[in-house]
Amino acid sequence: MYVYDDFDEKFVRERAAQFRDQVERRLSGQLEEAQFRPLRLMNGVYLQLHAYMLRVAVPYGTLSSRQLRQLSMIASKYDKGYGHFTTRQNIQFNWPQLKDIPDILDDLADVGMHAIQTSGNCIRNVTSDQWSGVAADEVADPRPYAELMRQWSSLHPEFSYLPRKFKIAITGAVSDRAAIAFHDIGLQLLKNSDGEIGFRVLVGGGLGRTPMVAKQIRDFISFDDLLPYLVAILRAYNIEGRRDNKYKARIKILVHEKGIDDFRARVDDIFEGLDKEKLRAPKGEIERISKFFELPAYETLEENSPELAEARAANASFNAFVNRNVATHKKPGYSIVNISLKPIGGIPGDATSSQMDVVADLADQYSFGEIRVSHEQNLVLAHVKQSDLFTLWQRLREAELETANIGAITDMITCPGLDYCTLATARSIPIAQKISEKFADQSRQDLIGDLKIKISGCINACGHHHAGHIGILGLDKKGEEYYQITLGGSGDENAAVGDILGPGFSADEVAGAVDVLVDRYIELRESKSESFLDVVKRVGLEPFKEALYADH
Amino acid sequence: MAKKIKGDQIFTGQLLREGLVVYFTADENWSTDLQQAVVATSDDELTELEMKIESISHKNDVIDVYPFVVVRDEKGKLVPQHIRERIRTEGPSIDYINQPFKQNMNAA
Repeated sequence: MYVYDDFDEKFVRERAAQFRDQVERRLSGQLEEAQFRPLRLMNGVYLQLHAYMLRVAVPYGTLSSRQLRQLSMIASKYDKGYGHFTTRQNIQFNWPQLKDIPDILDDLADVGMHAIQTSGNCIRNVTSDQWSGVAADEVADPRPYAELMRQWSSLHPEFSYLPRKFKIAITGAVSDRAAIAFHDIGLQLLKNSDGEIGFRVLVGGGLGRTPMVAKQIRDFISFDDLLPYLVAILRAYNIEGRRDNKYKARIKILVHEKGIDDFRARVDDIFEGLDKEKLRAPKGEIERISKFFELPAYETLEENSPELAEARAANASFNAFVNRNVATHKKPGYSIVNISLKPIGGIPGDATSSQMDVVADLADQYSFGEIRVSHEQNLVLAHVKQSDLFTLWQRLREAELETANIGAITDMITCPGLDYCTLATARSIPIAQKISEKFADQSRQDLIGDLKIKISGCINACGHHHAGHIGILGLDKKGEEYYQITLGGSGDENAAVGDILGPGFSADEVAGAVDVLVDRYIELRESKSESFLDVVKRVGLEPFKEALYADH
Repeated sequence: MAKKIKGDQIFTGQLLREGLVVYFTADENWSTDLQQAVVATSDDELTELEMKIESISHKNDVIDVYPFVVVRDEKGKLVPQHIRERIRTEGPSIDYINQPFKQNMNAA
């Protein structure tokens, strides 16, 4: 894991001290709210429906056990004893008091963390594949490049007042687990025919009220040109992006309105005029950063652990957990363990302080002290020996973290919705809970297979509903919540925006509607290996509409 | 200016220091109890309340002030008309962890 150098340490401490002063001036009345609001937002402090909310950056979703314990302590000491992991791999605290936030920022700084650029019209936390470095299908580890971009984008003077927020995601694998096509810039690590590392560059993706799949702007850009090329894209956006209308200010609108060819030409024009040498990472910097991400000292193990096979045969619940939550590691004898934060009927993405402590302890004992956060609001232990899986699972079970549903219908992305968010028009969490309870039966989930439901409580789409195989969007109709259902969205390497099925449903009807859609899918599929998404692509919406609206 | 919308209305805001939701009361203070709120039954009363809030010396203590519509239930209790304000008044509608603040417990 990356460890802050003196520069990082100093600027994070300085920002915490600045914010302490700003809070003191606000509380004493020297600063008015209109003056203070942008300052608090620059430090990740929002005012939500019931309280302040503090969003803490988790760079590319990677945490040390020490950092997770500190987050647990913060949740316990200053909040109500839990935190909420977000679709941008960050964590949010829902109840901090303004008077305590300077202390929280100091506590975060103690473990190399902060809340800078988790709000505002700047480059936000760079996100990545939660299986970075260990995925079997990976070309190269994206984390060193993500870290380089973190350093480059932190307090970048040219890009601290963009037309709108700006999100970058990077993956090093063929399977896209980072939803790069729904980001302002998406990067895919590639090797060219000479074995040289470079990047496929996508631009102009996004969700929100105008969902767009990103377009390819470059099929390959070398590492040397990465930062200059990012500068060229952001400069084009900074100059030409709209500032007159917040809803048309994201780069996706600029790319859409200009067309990708014109936008590419504009970027290339800027790129050619840049002093690239000056903008490149210093010589040796990526090698220096990469050292922090060297894989841990794995043991040499057999491909398959006999202890694991025995435990799977002896315990059906454990076997279900392995089937659903454990993924192939590139090192023989090791596994990637995905810890679901979607217990049946629970609140998606929430973890209690004690659960965070347990995961931190398990990371220390079984996974080299490292934890990942996924954009699907789950946690990952990336380096677990197969022979330790059964013991680990038992420990997870004691902490109620053993839910075997990764990628299944009950593993839903869900935004906080109207239970917390000032922007929301409807609740999301209770909808997820009802669906989760309806599909609680493990054998039914197994029968259904992979199915991603994503739920947003307003058109800003923090719950990624456009990218859901089944997407659910909560809206307000004359003071009543109602929900629109979309089908066929996908956030992976075949990214697609879902299509609206038809008239919406009341909160009480949504879970039943999903049940009807799932039953129809089971009837329509040609084999168990044909996924829900495959069937939607093959047959279109009509058979699902017929099933859903026949009696509606 | 307060938005002119029909129905009885009360003013709400959030405490600057803690972020807690509060309601403007008849004694020109702020309470976390909705039932203590002073109700404006006309646009003139609403404007008057708004001016009062602007003029009170401790106005800095409360942020994000706005009015919303309330109705009375069968027992005569004030209830926000819109679901957003009902959730804001009653707290999240889900079974979230409502652990008391350790900081406050220590202080007590």
